[in-house]
Amino acid sequence: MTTRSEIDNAERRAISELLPWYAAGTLSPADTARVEAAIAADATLRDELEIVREDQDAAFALAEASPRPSARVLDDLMKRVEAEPAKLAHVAARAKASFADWFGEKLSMLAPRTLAYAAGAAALALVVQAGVIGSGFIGGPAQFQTASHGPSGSGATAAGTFVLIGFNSEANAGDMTRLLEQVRGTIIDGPRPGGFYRVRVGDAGMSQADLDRVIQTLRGQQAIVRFVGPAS
Amino acid sequence: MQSDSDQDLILRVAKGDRLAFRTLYARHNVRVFRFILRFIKDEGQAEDLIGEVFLDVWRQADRFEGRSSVSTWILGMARFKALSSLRKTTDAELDEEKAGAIADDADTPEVVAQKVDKAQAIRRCIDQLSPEHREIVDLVYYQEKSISEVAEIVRIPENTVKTRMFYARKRLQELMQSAGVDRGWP
Repeated sequence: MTTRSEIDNAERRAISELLPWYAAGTLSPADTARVEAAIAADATLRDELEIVREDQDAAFALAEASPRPSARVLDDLMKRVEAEPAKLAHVAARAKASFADWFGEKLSMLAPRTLAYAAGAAALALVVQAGVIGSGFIGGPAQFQTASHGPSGSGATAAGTFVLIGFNSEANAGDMTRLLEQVRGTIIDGPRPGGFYRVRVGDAGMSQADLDRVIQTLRGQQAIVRFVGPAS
Repeated sequence: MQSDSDQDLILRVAKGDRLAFRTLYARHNVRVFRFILRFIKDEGQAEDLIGEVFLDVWRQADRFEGRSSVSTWILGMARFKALSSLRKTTDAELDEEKAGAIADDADTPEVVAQKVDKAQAIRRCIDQLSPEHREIVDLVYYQEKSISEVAEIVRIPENTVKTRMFYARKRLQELMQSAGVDRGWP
């Protein structure tokens, strides 16, 4: 009997230790069943559980009476987040994972100061992008020159038909690659301010109907592409 | 409409999504702030610290491995920052003495019992627990953390979590008995 009593005492203590989590509903299913079996058989454990619930209510009320942080915390925090360069480096690291090796290398080559300038340029590009989008409604292809560098003495001068693409920041490299393969696109130049890429989608002299089809395909992928328009 | 889970939000934060970050902050800032207040009594300093904690959330979101819940991860960071801040304060020990002195200056448990009802007496007695006991009571009852989550936040073994909580409750009972309220346990 002595042995059994000691085991019972040990189990009782073990159950007693679990009661706070049982009251809070944060016990595992196995321990919950163990506690429920014990309190069903032991009235003193049920009384103890009532005390635990009183303590729980008091602790909760005490915490709820504590102050909340002021609004200035979030304001200051967001200012600091805006000033953080870390995410650009993070984006570069992720981009290195696949087709964007090339893009990642470009970013990683940039000095922090250059990245800061790039961020400024990106802000400027938002204004430019607004113009580009607006021009889409007006309709003259030449209007898209705004976001293009124009011909230069590199691969960017290769003959062909081009579009300007802005990818969503949340698009992953795999989706971007698949979409480019779908339209037989090749990135020729970029990222330009605002994150635009100049993409070759066909030979020079590609019909307007074919170009429109490519643009419609790209525009249909809103999860990946945030902007697309013809480019020179 | 189903709201995003913390896990979804942290993935979006890792990609630089500011809206997700604001949502995560709105969801957790009050509880994390109150947890920090357990260590840092000064509200202004606690606000500075919570800013530091969430800035780390922004910076380190891509390193979140999902082994624990997001709130446990954040509370762990908050605890580390709060304790680091206390260590930096050369008179941290003095603060503990001050806290003891404040408790001494407060009404005695007997007076408390005369003045307030039972629930208020429990609250006052919880407030008089040691920082270690106060912390675990807060984590279990207010933050609703499981045994393993408390172990992760406080960085102690799970068995120690259980015994620490047990002795916190015993100490609370002693304080209640001193206040003239015998609840029949242990």
